[in-house]
Amino acid sequence: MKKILFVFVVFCGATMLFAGGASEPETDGPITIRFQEWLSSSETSGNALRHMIARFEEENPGIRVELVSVPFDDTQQQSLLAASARNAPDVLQLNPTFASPLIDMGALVDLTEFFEQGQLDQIPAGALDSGLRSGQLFTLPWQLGPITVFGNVGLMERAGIGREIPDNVEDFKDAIRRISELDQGVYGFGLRSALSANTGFWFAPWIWMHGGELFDDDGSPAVDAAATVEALEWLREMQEDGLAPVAMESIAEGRALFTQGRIGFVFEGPWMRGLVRDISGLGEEADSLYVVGEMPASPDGIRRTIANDHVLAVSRDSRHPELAARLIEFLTANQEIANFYFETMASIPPFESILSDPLFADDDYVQVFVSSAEYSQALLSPHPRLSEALTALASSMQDVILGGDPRAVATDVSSEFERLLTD
Amino acid sequence: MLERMSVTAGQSFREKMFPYLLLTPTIAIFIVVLLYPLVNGIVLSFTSYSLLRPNYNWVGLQNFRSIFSSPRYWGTVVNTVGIIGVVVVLQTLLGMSMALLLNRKFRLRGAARSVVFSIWVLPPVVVAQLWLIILNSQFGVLNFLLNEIGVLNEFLPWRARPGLARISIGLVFVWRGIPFFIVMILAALQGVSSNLIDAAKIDGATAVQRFRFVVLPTISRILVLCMLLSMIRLFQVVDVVFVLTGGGPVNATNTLALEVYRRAFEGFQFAEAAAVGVTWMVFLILLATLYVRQITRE
Repeated sequence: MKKILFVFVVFCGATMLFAGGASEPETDGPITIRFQEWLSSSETSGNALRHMIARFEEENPGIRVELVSVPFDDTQQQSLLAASARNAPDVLQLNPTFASPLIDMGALVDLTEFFEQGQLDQIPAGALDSGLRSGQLFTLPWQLGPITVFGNVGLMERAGIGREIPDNVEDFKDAIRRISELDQGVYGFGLRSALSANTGFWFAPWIWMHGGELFDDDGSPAVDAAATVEALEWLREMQEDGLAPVAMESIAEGRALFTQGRIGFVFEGPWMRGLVRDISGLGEEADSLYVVGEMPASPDGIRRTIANDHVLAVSRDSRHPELAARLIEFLTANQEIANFYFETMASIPPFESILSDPLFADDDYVQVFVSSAEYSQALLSPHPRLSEALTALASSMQDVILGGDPRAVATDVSSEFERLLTD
Repeated sequence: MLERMSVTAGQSFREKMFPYLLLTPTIAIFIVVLLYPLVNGIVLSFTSYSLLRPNYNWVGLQNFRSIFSSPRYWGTVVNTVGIIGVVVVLQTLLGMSMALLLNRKFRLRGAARSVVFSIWVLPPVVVAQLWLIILNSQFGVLNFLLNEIGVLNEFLPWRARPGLARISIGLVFVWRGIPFFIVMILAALQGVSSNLIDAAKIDGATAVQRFRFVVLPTISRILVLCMLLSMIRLFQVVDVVFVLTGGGPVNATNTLALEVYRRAFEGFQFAEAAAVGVTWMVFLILLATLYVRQITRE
């Protein structure tokens, strides 16, 4: 009996030691490609994605796509951990800020061997550049996301602004003020203030609108303290004078308030069309609630904006990179799929040839984003610690909102950028 | 005879080793799941390891110097100790009051106890999401109620002002932790001798005097244990603070546990996170030592 027990214990110990190292054997049958994405987090986008994947599998019977759903907020963390553990999925849905550290650590495959230069030339430079390093391309844009200004038509007309988004920063600030004066509980602008890298990223246009910079052409920190001070002073003014909600902590809250007609202007991307339709419950009728316009120009007449592009990449851990690249090409360069994605999620594809389809070419809404994509910037700096620096910028925004001295805060932000982004 | 002796010695050795062999899986799990990560974490705190730059080297006390010279770190320590200190006191006072109330006989006492206890079984993330909605500055129930009954005449940004954010976190911690105190104190109250209570009544002691001189000494040890356990548990909480405030605004509600998480999984600076974790561990060791002393005391 003791011998049996002894053998059993040794067997258990050996099983525990070796179980973790077991890997799935290759079998005959379809090849499985794992696709990490965040669209499945919501029902509408998840259904759209599943339809696109089903079409890909129809056209590629030997390939099966397994979706690995990761919420957007967890994507960077999960991608880095998976890449470090050398078991990242074949295809990754990312944004340029998430992709940058992965490129830096060599976790992504060069896509230039899978795409012809003629194809890549069709993509706006601003969108393509975020994935380029030393002539190699590591990410391909899937959905263009230049940020523009959405204006609530009802509030704009009541404030006597008309139906055009103000063209320059001074007129924009004036419009914000006029809308805020309409009613209590109505605000001119919806400003994100949650402590996150995204908040810092979305503050960059305000700094640019005041003629400032955060980085030089090489992506090295070059925080223009004077312009940053101005932008932070305006931020404080917006809070003190009630031009923005005191605590718009979440993006969802801002979108809800905008749709309800309590916020005059928000910065948003092409996805906002679908969101307003959903939130309002009015479907296509909701399109008449707002107008879209390009980002107001700075005092020296320059228009700049950020881009929340969605990009796709192939992981170095992929055993079938050519099939992974085929999936990426299908999702980004197939006219039927691009049209479907646009009709369901207002997603704007990157390829010029696809955008020439009347579905896109005749849509004024789309053309605002296509124009903005020409000068939008998806990645502020290629430095791997960019997220931390942007979180520090978000913290400085909160500091100012709570009464901190903009000058002192801007100096601190500049020091923090130097500390984090200078090796 | 020699043969018999050698057979006896061999069996004795096997018999002696067999229990240890049976313990091997447990010891293996202890080493792999507890000891190795602990030692690895401490060693990591002396390196420059980052998920963004996997090649790393030994840097000695540099990480500790860096965090100790950071105002954010000391602000975090003050937040942690301050919030936990106030919360545990409130949990004790409110928990004891409610336990005394629920110890009295009244109709539906069982249902009342069940309702109170149900708070404790809610997952922390669910609790945080619930309070996220209640505390919302634009749509939240709390602002609405307080305005309706006239306590406030404006909608307060509960999570956007440092003071209010700390109150919000404290409120959620207290709300969630009270059931634990109620359960433990209720159990302790069953051990209070009714003869002593009756004797005190006969001697003319008031309710307050009976509580102070009879009930409190009997349950004091349980109270101290509950407070220590609550402190240890609160030191480890990440989820509620992460969901409610993310440690903001301007790090006003940042705690040591959340700081470790943020440095590791937002900044991907594992070595720095490990260094903060080592200092956090010191606090927990102190509390754990007090706790062990308390439970082993005669």
